[in-house]
Amino acid sequence: MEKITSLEYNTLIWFIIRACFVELTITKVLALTKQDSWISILIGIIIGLIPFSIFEYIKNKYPNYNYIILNKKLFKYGNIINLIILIGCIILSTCIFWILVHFANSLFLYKTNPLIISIAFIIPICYASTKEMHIISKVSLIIFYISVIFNIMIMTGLTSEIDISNIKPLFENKSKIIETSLIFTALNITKIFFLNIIPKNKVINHSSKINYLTYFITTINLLDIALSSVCIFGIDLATIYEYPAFQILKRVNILGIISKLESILAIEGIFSIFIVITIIIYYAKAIIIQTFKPKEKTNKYITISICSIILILNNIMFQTKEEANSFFIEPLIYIIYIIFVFLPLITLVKSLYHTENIK
Amino acid sequence: MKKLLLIICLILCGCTDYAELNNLSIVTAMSIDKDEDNYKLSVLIANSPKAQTTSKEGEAKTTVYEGTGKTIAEAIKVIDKKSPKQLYFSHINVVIISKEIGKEGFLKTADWLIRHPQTRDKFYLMQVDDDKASDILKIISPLESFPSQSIATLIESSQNAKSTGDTASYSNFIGRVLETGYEPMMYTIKINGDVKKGSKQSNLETAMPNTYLSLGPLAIYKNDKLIDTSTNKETETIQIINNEIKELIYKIKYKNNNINIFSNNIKTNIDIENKSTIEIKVKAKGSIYEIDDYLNIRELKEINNLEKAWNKSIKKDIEKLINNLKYKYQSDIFGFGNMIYKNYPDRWKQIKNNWNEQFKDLNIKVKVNTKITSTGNLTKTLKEGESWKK
Repeated sequence: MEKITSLEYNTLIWFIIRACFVELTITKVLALTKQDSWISILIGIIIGLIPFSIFEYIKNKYPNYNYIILNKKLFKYGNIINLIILIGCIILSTCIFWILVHFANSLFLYKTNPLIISIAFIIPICYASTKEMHIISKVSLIIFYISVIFNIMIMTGLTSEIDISNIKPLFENKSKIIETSLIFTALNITKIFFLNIIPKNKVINHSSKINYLTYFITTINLLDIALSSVCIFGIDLATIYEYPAFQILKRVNILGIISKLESILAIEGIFSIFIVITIIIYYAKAIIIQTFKPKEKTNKYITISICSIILILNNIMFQTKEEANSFFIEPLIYIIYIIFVFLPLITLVKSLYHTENIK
Repeated sequence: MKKLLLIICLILCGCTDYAELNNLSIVTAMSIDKDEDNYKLSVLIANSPKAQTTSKEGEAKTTVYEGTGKTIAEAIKVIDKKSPKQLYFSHINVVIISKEIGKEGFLKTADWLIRHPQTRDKFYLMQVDDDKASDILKIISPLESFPSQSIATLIESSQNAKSTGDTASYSNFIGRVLETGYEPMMYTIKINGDVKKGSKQSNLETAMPNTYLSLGPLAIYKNDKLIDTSTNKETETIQIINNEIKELIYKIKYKNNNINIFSNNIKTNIDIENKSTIEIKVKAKGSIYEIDDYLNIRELKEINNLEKAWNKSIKKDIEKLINNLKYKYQSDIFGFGNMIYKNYPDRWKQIKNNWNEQFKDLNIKVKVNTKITSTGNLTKTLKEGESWKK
């Protein structure tokens, strides 16, 4: 693996945290905690520091190894742990891919068969996944600049629409705040796990401080999106939309001249999902390579196979939107916490008692 | 080959939905009328060929299709069969509903407009009072090519209202209906003159059009149902309280004088004092615009008295309006209930089921603070000048 810069690494954090927020998380968060959504996201940001710190600790403690190799070195049954993670990767990437296809289908291509959309999306994802991490991170950096420009445009264009009194009354749905915070953390923060595929020594000028700073900037940006949705629409209108954060984009009006930008601005959300799925597939491919050690020329067929599985599962896993939504709320959250938080936690505990040098 | 495939996927993924512009009928306005048990829907098409060419004498440039059905979707299906091109709703600018639709409850018909992926929620929503909603789409204006644009311009350039557009927007109406302790309102529009003459090109040929559209007062709703239409004076007072006034010309009676005061600096704050008291504070600065009789405006005392009279008049208008909202319309269009809900949620839980009665008991204090800062270009009245001559 070639080295990537710290900035490129941080843009990956930016996109991984943002992915699925507009397309899924915000709808769930608003439905559960209504005008207290911002409080649940704020608590979610604090809870999210736990998995984020676990990942940072592991990365700093073993700067030469990615998480897959580390499992093999630390545990007797490291391969089994890696295969469990592989299953998690397939499930999570299928769910995220379904969210992407459904988002495009609902808002832009409502007359198109979802199968066609999924084929159109999986091919570029598959192509990107065959590339090395330094190429993916360079693409991420370019898209990051676009993302920042779009975010400035959104903030400028929406300021006049905000009515802060819409977040009142506070703590009306306090019983669900913690549950919602955990959902937010699971869907948005824990995906940073996949950056453990990049060992610390492969990041030029890697700095945990900058990583934490990026974490806070990104999550506060998400908090801003949630607050804007509630403040602009009012909670009652915001909760009737399937994609409230997309609907507020329809109101972006810059200096009374530039408007009707929602389709362009929504591309940023689609890019985030593209990057996160690409990284997950890259991770899954790495597990297969490390576990089964196939010949190098078969590597691209591994990517194609994973993408084909995602494509097939995407079309058979959920028959209706309700089925998908109920899966995203409960089973998926448990799967994410068990595989992407609990397993790294075990690694962390093991590493605390593991004093021998790993070769 | 791989790269080519990738480019094809990225560029052509939307091609299954593609439609040529030539094959689209771009809908810019829509009206909904009640026709016995059915809904009569009319759509105004902006890009018909005759809109793009010079019309012959007596020929209208606009094209309106009508369809009737038990639901809005059914009516659209009927229009779809009539229109040779595919209807495209992304550019809807205005939706007009009839009084009957308002009385029946607008949410019955509102769903399609907000659910359809093509529609945007920031178009204008208006109601007709006595006319048919579909007739509005037929009236052509000398200043704008299409009725939809003419209505939008009417709203946006409404002389005394800077943000009439906010109250008139569709999403604002739906938001108010859904929000706790808030009732919506809607601007009305009316046809002045004969509909048949107004829909012909000849309407544009005279210096003074036979038929034209004008913005009417606000229609007051409760939930999604029309209660009544306010008077012009009430509409002006509502605009003052909602901070929707940009320029106000306010007439007061003072010492047998009809005095008009011009203000472009008027601001209202609504605060909640406690669980049962709301305070409306109006601050305004203005200048004398017109005096039709003698008044010694060089005297500071006289100006102070004039300010007091202006104060009193605005206060009286607001109190009268609040009284009418409490007893005549029984509709909380300013969202006093919403303020109680946001600031005292426990209190709101106790009173929400009985809000109609509680609204009547709500103590609403009105404080007005006005200042006359200028007497215009004159230092005295013309009548005063005339008396010196004698």
